Amino acid sequence: MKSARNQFILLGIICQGLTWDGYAVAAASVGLWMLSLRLARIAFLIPQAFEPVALVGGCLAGYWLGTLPGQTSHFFIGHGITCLQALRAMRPLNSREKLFSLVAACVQLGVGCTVILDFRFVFVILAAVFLIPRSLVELQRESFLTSAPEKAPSPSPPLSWAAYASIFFTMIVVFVGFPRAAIGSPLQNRRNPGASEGSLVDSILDPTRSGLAQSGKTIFQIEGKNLGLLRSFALVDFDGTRWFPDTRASLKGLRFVPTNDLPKLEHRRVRVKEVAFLGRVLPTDGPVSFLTGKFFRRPLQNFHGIIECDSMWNTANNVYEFWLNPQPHTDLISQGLKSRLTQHPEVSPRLRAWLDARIDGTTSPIQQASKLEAYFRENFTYDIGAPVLKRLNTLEEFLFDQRRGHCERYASALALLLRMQGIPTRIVVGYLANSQSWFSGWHNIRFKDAHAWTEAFFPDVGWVQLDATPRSRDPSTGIEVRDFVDALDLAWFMNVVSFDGAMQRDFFSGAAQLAERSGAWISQHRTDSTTVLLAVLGAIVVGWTFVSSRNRVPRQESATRSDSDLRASHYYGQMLQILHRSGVSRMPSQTPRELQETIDAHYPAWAGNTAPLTKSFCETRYGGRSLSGSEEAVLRTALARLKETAATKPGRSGPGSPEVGALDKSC
Amino acid sequence: MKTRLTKTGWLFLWGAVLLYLASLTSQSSLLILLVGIFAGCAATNLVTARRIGREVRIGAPMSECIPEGGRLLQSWRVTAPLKIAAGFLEVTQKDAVEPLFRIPQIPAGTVINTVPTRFFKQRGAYPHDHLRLTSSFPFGLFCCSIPLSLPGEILVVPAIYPAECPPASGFEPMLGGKFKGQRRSESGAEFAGIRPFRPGDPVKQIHWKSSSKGTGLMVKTFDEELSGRIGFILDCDPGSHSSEFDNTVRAAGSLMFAALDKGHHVELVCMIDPETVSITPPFADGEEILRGLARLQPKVGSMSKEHLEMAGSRLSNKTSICLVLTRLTPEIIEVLGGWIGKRRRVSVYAPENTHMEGLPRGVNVAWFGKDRITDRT
Repeated sequence: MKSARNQFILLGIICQGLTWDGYAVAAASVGLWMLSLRLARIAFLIPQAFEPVALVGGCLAGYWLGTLPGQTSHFFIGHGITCLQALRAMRPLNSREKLFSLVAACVQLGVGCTVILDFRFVFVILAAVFLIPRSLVELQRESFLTSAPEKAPSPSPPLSWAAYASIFFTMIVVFVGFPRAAIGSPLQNRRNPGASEGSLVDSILDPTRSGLAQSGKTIFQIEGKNLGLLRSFALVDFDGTRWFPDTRASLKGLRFVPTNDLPKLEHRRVRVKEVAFLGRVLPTDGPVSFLTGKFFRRPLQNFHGIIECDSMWNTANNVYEFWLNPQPHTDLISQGLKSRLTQHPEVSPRLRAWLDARIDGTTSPIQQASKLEAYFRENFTYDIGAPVLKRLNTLEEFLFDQRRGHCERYASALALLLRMQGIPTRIVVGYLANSQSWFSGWHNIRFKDAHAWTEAFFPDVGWVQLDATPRSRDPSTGIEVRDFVDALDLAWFMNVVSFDGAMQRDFFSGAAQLAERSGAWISQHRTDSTTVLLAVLGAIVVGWTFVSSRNRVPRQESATRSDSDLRASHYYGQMLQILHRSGVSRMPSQTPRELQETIDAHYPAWAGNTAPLTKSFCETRYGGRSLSGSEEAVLRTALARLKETAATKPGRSGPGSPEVGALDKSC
Repeated sequence: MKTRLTKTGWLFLWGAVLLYLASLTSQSSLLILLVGIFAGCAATNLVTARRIGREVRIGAPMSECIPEGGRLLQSWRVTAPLKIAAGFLEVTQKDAVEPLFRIPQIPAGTVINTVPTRFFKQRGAYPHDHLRLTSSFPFGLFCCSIPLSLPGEILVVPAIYPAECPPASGFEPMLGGKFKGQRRSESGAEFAGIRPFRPGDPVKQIHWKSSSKGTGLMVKTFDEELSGRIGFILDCDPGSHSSEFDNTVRAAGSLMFAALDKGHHVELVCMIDPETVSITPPFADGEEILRGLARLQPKVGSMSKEHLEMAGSRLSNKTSICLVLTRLTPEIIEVLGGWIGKRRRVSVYAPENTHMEGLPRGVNVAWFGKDRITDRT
């Protein structure tokens, strides 16, 4: 496991395991890998012929398991590779097999890049930055040593932090600058919107039953100015106890304005985190003039202005954008619809008296509606845990007895009271954008931000939003940690995961504009900028010179000295060989100077040639002096003369010729 | 400096292309981060390997002489004046498959000495001016190589094997000669007897033990020591296959060393230059012969009748001729006939499986292979 290659393979296996829902398969894969390494240590061998079988078997098993609900069979080959890697961990591999295992791990990591798109990917990519280079070094070293005759058990050459930093930097540069071409948005994930987490309507109608009602989990994040109430469902029909959506409302296509007009309109950008919770509806805070997005198909609008899609799927980054129509066309409502929108239970005398008392003095329907809205806000209490209302005469119990409850009760009460006055109303369920992130500037819409309000139709004005819900007593307090986490999450998805061709173009055009502005600033402040530029350049030159003088020059000199040392030793060695052939051997205890003195004393004919060789050797070897080209020529000449002189000396290897050692003893 | 992608580099390049294509199909731009890691490794590899190639210094011995099939004994010095560790260094000679030596790792700013590991299987001179330093440090994706031009050379001399000395002729007195003559001399290694003192005999020749017996002064006599002469004519034709000339050179070297060991004078004429005769006295170390044979290159058409006759004429008349051939031709047989007619002693050595038909009588014949001389008749 100390091997970087093994660690990288493990990373690939983990990535492959994470293609399944949850962490169970990833953990099982890690266990299998560990077991394989353990078995390899006790020399447990499985025949090599079994490896293709394991590969195919793993692929088939992965494909079959992928057909189960909630899973995918897209990555079945990777599961086969996991089995193969585990089997191969049990035996020693040759260099080609090791390279293949590395490539296979890269493939699995690539799979990870397409399915692990949240914060976990940061750990994966950091591990990859660390492990891929180390694995390559290890592989190269092993292949180098295998082909080298001596298999020295030396450790892998360590990589400097500068190398890791340069790899990381190059990775960022490539990511930012690599042509995106057709890369649009991230992978379409396998998960389909399900109903497991409950729907918005259920949560609103009975928040005490739904555990998500007060959850801080973010449903979506929205960017825009002057955000209104985000509409998702319109409840029209009331059966005395419950409200129901308008199932008879026909859907029609959206009428988009030309794209040239979009810059003039209010723009909203929404990133949805919980697609399943939306129920195929795109929340909007007004009439839509233009809509784009890639995680839904065929958006249609019903009479109530709700945008519903044919289908919706979960992608890694579900983003849609819409532009609001500032002057919406007001559709008149038909008589049939008007009768539905004014349906209400029978009004008791007590309720009628109460209602008359509330709207006393007002004749205009709008004023009546405003007065009722204000009354609820001022005299009632917001309470999520209010007791369940009686099934009979719920409105009166709410108005006269409890006088507290959550948003749906106020929306429902106001809608019914206005209907009693003959004003067409509906309840709209959606979200309240009241928590803007201090970090990102986006509004985080959480489960607890689900809301219901009333919309009333006035012939001259159109639909008007009326929110009778009193203000909650426990408003959210300041900056929260989850805001920071949400901001990070948003930044990651919007700037990294969704870094597509359009964003890349924006990035470069922004950089170009910045450069242009900088150029303009420099031209305006020429004197100042020239001074700054010269100072920066001067600092760079001084720093560079300092570093060079500190590191390079001494090393360079040392290298030259070593070279000269080598040459001088060579010439001196040649001299010793010639002397040895002529019967004069240098004793191990003799220094070069002592040898020269001996030669001076006993072989004066040689002394003239051996002296420069000895001198240059001593000065270069022990004095650190470098050897010049002219000196080398002199040494070569001296060596040639010495060879001639020594060859003509009679009895050069005869028994009579004394050895220097013997002479020393006599001296 | 040459830079190229290694096989691993090509593999990862294609891998990066596939990942990019995958990023198009899967629409995940995160795959480009993986491409970025590959690119980062490649860029780091490229810069580091080029830097190593530029700054690492190699110090080679000026000359080293080794026999065929041997390894170098002297160490080479590798200096890495770098701030970072260097490694995966390979020094290769021109046109050689096997590197001279490889170094897995050199710590930053250190000097190491290493003995080359390459076995030199073929004789010849291998100058250091055509070396190539290669490094693929650290990832093995890019390989940078830089030519090195160092002074010195490696001389690989032919491998000498034991052989029987060819017949010699032209024996002459020679101190230390291994052949005993019929006459007596005043000096030598083998004591032969005594004779009466004659005027002019040196005093140190007097054999005092026998002189003391009263028969007059007696002096020592020794067996005459003789040394023969063998003239080698080396065929420099390339022969029928590539190794044949090397076998011929090896056989010639072995025969010459056998002759030197026997105490003969050796004369050598290479057919590249039939006018030049090199003479080596007996008991010489033969280093010059080996160095000359190491550098010898074949030449097509060098073994003509005229050249052979010229070579024969350059050798002294008393010398026994030893002809080491790469192939036997009728022209050579004709020249051999002429030499036999002049009562010269001739031996012919030819490659194995050479048909020696038509040779004149009196010619000694033998065959040589890669590492032996066989079937002498």
